[in-house]
Amino acid sequence: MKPAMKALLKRNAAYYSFLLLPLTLYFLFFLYPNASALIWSFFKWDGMAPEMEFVGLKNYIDLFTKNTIFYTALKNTFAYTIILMIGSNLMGLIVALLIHKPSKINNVFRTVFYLPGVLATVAIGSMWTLGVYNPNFGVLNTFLRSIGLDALTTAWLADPRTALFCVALVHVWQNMGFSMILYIAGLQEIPEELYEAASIEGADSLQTVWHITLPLLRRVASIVMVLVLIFGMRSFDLIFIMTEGGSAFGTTEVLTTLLFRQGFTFRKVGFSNAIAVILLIVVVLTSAIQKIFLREKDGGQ
Amino acid sequence: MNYIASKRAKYLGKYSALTLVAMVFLFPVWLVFINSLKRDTEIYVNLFGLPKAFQFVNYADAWINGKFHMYYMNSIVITAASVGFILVFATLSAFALSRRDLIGKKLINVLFIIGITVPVQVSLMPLFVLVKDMGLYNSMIGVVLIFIAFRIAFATFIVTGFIEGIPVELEEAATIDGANSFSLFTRIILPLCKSSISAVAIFNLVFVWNNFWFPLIFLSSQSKKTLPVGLLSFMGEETTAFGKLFAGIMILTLPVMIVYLLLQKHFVQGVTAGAVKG
Repeated sequence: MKPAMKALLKRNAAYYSFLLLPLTLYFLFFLYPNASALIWSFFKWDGMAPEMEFVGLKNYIDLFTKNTIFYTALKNTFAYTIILMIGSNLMGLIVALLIHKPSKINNVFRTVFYLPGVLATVAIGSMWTLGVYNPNFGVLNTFLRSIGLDALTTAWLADPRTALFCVALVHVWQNMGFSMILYIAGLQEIPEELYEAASIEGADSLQTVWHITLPLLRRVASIVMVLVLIFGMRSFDLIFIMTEGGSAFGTTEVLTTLLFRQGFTFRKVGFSNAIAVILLIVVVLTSAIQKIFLREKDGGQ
Repeated sequence: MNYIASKRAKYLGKYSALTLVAMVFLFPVWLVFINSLKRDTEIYVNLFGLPKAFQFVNYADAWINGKFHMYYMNSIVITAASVGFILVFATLSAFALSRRDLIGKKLINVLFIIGITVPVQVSLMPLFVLVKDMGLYNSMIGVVLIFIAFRIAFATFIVTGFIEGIPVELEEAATIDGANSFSLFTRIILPLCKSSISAVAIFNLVFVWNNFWFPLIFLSSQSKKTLPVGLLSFMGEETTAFGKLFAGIMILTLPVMIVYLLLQKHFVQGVTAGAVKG
């Protein structure tokens, strides 16, 4: 080997060694379990027996034909995600439009609205479950009673009509600051001259927002949409904490809580992993479709 | 005159509306704070008002009887170890991936993107079995390794994007002067990507500190519980001791809130960098 070549390899050897440990951990504790999940979904196993029984596509077929709760979970996952996307985007965008200009007071508001984003989900969950939704002394029912609307009071997180919406609302509260920060970043990239031109033309502020700001925010909006969509699809923590693992008579059952219960409680490992794979496919597909859809719109303008 | 007056009225109207919204928005946090300072008997009759007498009984109760002093230490150890290793590994990997055309570089990038999109729940069962087989169940080291594995992709992604923006000339000059790859890393790269490192650090700090999921599943003994897991069991067991629970929420969230208020610039940077990359 030529000395130069040898030196090059030797020099790159150091760089390979930098990657060695992190990649090992990543393969072992992340990629390998994910690959196993895929493989296990073709087996029947209780998680303990020494032998796993190969059943082919049976877990998937059962899922779609025998298990009606699966459709409920799928429907709830989509409903929850849609509430989160609309709420988080709309609130984040409106607040961002009001406070995007850099100033001291706007900075204070920005800090306030992003605050829930740094709080632990366990804290947020218990805060809302006890302080706001508690049927006996929570804020919501106390308020309704005080204005004479006793008829509207309910056990918000146990009532099948309200449970899913109430949890999703907390997620909106937690997540809207995230959307807001991204929209603010997008708004600050819009050149000031455009606004000046609009005001010379005599456009009022609503017209300016509609004709200048919103069209230019499309790229940021598509990023926020896709990210919040993924958050919604994989949401688990709040539902788990606020409705005892998604039970509430199945009304808050989503794909993540369903696969958790099937695997850890009922020990149907293969079945649980089939749900996991479906979840993965749903997440990847919906975010891909959304990305393409938003990009096409982008190109058309 | 009229124009200025109407502008001022608009300004006042906008910010009073925003203040009102912000107050409603922060109300749950405020509620927890004032009620953590009340006795349980007072909470039932006076949820909204200020406490009649400020007292820290609930905090003492959570801290000592609720074993929060122990959970606190565990949380600090696990968070510090995880974030420390995530930073070292992420910066080293990002340096290698952005500065050399290594074999398999493209594959590694693709594998890291997978790591950013896949929901955690997908691999949970196999991971659980793996951790048990390796004898790492109920071990804090095991939990730290899992945190590293689950966060390394995202962290590397952000730092790589940052290093790619640093011109190579500096390193070329240093190489001529005889610097080896490691000193290029410590002397040139690290000082230059301080801001992205702090964004990644703060982000993971909050993530690991707040995460209840991995400690809940992979740690079983009481003495190894972290703060969020401790709070979760509070919520399950004690349905009447609300004051203690509220104090527990404050103990868990206060450190993060303080870090957030002090370093909010880096939070904003982290959110934006992460989203644009992802």
